[in-house]
Amino acid sequence: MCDQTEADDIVQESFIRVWKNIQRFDEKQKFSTWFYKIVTNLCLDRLRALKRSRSLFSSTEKDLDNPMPADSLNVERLSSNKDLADIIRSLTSNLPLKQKVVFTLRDLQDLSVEEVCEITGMGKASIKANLHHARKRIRDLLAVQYNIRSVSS
Amino acid sequence: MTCDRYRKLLSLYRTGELSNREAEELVLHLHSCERCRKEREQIVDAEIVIQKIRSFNPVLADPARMASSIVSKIRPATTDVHARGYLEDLLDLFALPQVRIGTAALILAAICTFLFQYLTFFNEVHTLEVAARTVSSPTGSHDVYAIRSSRLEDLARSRTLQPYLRPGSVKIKDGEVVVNKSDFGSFVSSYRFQSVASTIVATMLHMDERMLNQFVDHIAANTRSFPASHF
Repeated sequence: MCDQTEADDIVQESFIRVWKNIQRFDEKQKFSTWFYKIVTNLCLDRLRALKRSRSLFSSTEKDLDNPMPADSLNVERLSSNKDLADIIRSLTSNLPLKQKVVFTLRDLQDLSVEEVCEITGMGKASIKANLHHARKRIRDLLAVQYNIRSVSS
Repeated sequence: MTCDRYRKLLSLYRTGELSNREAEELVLHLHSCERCRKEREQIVDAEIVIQKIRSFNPVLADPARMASSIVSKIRPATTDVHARGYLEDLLDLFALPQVRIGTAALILAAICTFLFQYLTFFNEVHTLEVAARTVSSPTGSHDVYAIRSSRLEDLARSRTLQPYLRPGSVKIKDGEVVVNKSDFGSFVSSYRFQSVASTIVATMLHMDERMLNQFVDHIAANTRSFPASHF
């Protein structure tokens, strides 16, 4: 979510959902995967709602896809939640929702491909394709920040 | 395979993302392609940055406040009757040991009552059998019973019981049910079985003893015996 208040709300709502739906939890399943699924669905719902409300109030599409300044990608200064939020927002703000979810779960949360499949309900091939595109875009962003020359460009 | 295809495979560098075959093909290609090797170096550099991001653990500012906030929201949520079905509410009652023990006691009492009434019913039917069997000729040479009873007449006519009776063992003659003495036991038994279903409800209420005695008297009064040659 990259926003402390939004994230707090999502965490609270996730625990409430776990409490309400605990009888639906299949004990053969990994609890963390089930919990991630709840959190991911809540985040997606919230992000879609935010996007709808922003598109209602923003005057142009440009406002929606306004990228963060490149220097905000400096991981050396990463020391607080806010720094982390800024870096992740800079890296993922221009990614489509599917790529953002897959990249976050796989590369930032370090979950296995199988777990990402279970959480998102996407197929393995689709996850790999989304990962490839997300990593490519993120690599390009990092190349600017860290002065890494892109081979394909 | 083109370099573009291998670059896609290069992107999928983390464990479990490539099949063994794809990994082998990629290694072979990297030996011969300088451009793809360069791409791999950039991917490794980018991964180092991502690793730094991944290794940072966000800190929850005030865990106690968060916990109390969650609990305060869970309480009203669990008491929200509209969010739950009535069946779930009813089942929740069984979480109380008193309710579980009470229900078990009720079920046990119902089973015992049923068994008691059921056994009593069989005992009563047996009494009927004995009553009918004791009606025999003083000389003991008479082997056929003739009983004037509408209930037994209905039974004799019942098709469902025919397979259980010896062919020709029961006849209806001049308004009387005529039964060979040797078949009388199975005939009355079939009466017993046919009656089980219809009598089970009455049994639950316990068969009226006065009615039973009346039927025994009825059997005794309307039964006569005569030699087998009359059959």
